[in-house]
Amino acid sequence: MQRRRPWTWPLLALVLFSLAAWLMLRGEPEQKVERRADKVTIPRYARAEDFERMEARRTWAAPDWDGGVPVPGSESRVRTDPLLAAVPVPKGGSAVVMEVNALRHSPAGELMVDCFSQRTRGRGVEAMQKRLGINPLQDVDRVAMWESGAIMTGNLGKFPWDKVATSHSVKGYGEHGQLYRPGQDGLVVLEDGGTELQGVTLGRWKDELVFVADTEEEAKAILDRLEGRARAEQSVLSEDMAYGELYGTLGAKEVAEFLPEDRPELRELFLKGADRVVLHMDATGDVGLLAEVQGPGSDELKDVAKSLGAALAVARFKAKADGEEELAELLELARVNPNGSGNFNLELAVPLEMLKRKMAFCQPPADTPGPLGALPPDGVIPPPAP
Amino acid sequence: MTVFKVAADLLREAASRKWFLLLGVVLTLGLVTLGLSLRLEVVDGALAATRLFGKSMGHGIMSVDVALRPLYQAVSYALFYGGMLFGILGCADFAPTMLSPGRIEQLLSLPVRRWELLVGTFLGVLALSLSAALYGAGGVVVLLGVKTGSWTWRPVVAAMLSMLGFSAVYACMLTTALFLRSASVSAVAGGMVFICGVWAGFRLDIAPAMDAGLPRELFLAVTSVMPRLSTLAIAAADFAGSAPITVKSFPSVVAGVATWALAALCVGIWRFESRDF
Repeated sequence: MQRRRPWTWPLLALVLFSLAAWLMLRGEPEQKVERRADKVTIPRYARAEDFERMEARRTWAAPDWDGGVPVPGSESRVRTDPLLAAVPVPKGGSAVVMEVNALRHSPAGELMVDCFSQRTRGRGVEAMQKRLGINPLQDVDRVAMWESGAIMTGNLGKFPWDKVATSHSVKGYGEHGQLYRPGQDGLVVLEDGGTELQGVTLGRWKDELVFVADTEEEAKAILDRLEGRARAEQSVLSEDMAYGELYGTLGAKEVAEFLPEDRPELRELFLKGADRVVLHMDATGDVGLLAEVQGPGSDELKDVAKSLGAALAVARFKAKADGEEELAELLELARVNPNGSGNFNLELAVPLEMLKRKMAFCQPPADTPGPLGALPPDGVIPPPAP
Repeated sequence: MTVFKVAADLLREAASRKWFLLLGVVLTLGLVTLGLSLRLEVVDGALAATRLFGKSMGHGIMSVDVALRPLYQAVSYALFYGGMLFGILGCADFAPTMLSPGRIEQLLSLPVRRWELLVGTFLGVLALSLSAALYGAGGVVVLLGVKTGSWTWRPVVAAMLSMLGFSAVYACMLTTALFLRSASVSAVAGGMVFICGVWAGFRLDIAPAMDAGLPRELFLAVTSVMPRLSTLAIAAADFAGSAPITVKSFPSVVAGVATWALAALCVGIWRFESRDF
């Protein structure tokens, strides 16, 4: 038997060890990537910074009233958050609060602001400021919306009330409130010469709060609750819900509208078992959304949880089969978590990377010029050339 | 073909050992226990409830394959690390036994080349490791597939990756036995490669915790050439669970570990061919 040269095997070993080391060192610094799921925070409870924010928002002490006049020195020792005091949410109603300022400074918010800026060629905010008198990216703190109105809080001293007053009738209401009704107390002259009574009412409270309501009565009710003239029943939008970058409550009927039309039995079960859905969204990193379906803890709700989980699973399989990878990825991160009290949470997560991919359309074409200098006098940005 | 005959001979020898009988019994008992104690409620492809030994496992309602992901990952880790530790202990004396006086002379008198003898032994041990890993992973896949209707082949491939990891360890054990014919020394060598291989996967995380200077540089130098066993284990677990593989250079690591095993085997062959018996 012919023997190999004595150096063949050691040489081969040396070459292979070197190759192995090269292969394993190759790309080593970026070998480990962060797991997507680890980064998503689902807002299941308030964090320390949420409590601090709640505390900082308790700025208003409503006085007692006597014959339509505030009693001096009667301010309540318990301070409240004026926005939450003002939002009218009866049982079964819906209201959502957006922490606009926090959202704007979140990674997802930055993406959206950048997108808006690119789409408007750097002048969108300027145009809005020219029209509204305030910079929506700096001066707006929160926006609350419900079925028949909305409230905005923040640094609203520069809101163009003078301009509004030229087309609205203005009247004071309460200690710090003012109401603006279109035309002559809501009577608006139409272009054809006819008239129309419009209920929509714009209101302000100090320079902190601007609101719009469908009727004058609703607008007055907002100011009554705010200034302590009406000790309203406990709102379903309470302070302990005020965490995350978006929070609120949706009535079961409103949510049922979003359930698949081809699953009427699911809608029926949902309406039987659910009272409302409490929403929380966290956007401090990736976007995490929690929808807590609350009800009396009936069997119907348990069945809804199972059906919803199954619907998500089926939708994910379908998305995968149809090659819709992003939707499949989103649905993969969705969870239905029953809790001990018979309610259940629906948890959704949107990775920031996915948002970035979705926002790719914001990137202007290479030949698009940059910011174009000052706005036209009317503040309207001309449409981009075709 | 001679190589495979040697490997088959080793498998026959392994079958007569109590260690491997015990391994088979333990794996079978584990699978049977899991099969009898695990109750899964599946609704339209979503895992709605899980009971283990009658106790409810509080997890959300989600797609079966997503819900089973951590389980497949855990099985992959168990097979990788558990299988490797068992392999180090259970296979440590194959090479010393083959090299024992009287036996080696008899083997060398047969029409078989030395490298064939060594490679056959190596492949035999790998076949042993692979069959145990496939039995464990395949058993879990079949069990959960029957219970949930969700079938996946990925844990089986992950089991093959655990065999690949063990190949680097066993190549070193085999080579060590050729320098010093001792089962315990062979096991210690395997254990050293195992530990260094785990460290090597986390070397860039560990190094900053060490004092700057010679110790850190030495650590980085030694671990730079060691097989990245922990990296391979993470990648295998991710793969088993159909999760996105968090190791970016996965193919490179797989190729690197395989090449490392071949390199260690080459040293063994060189030693075997140059040694007089």
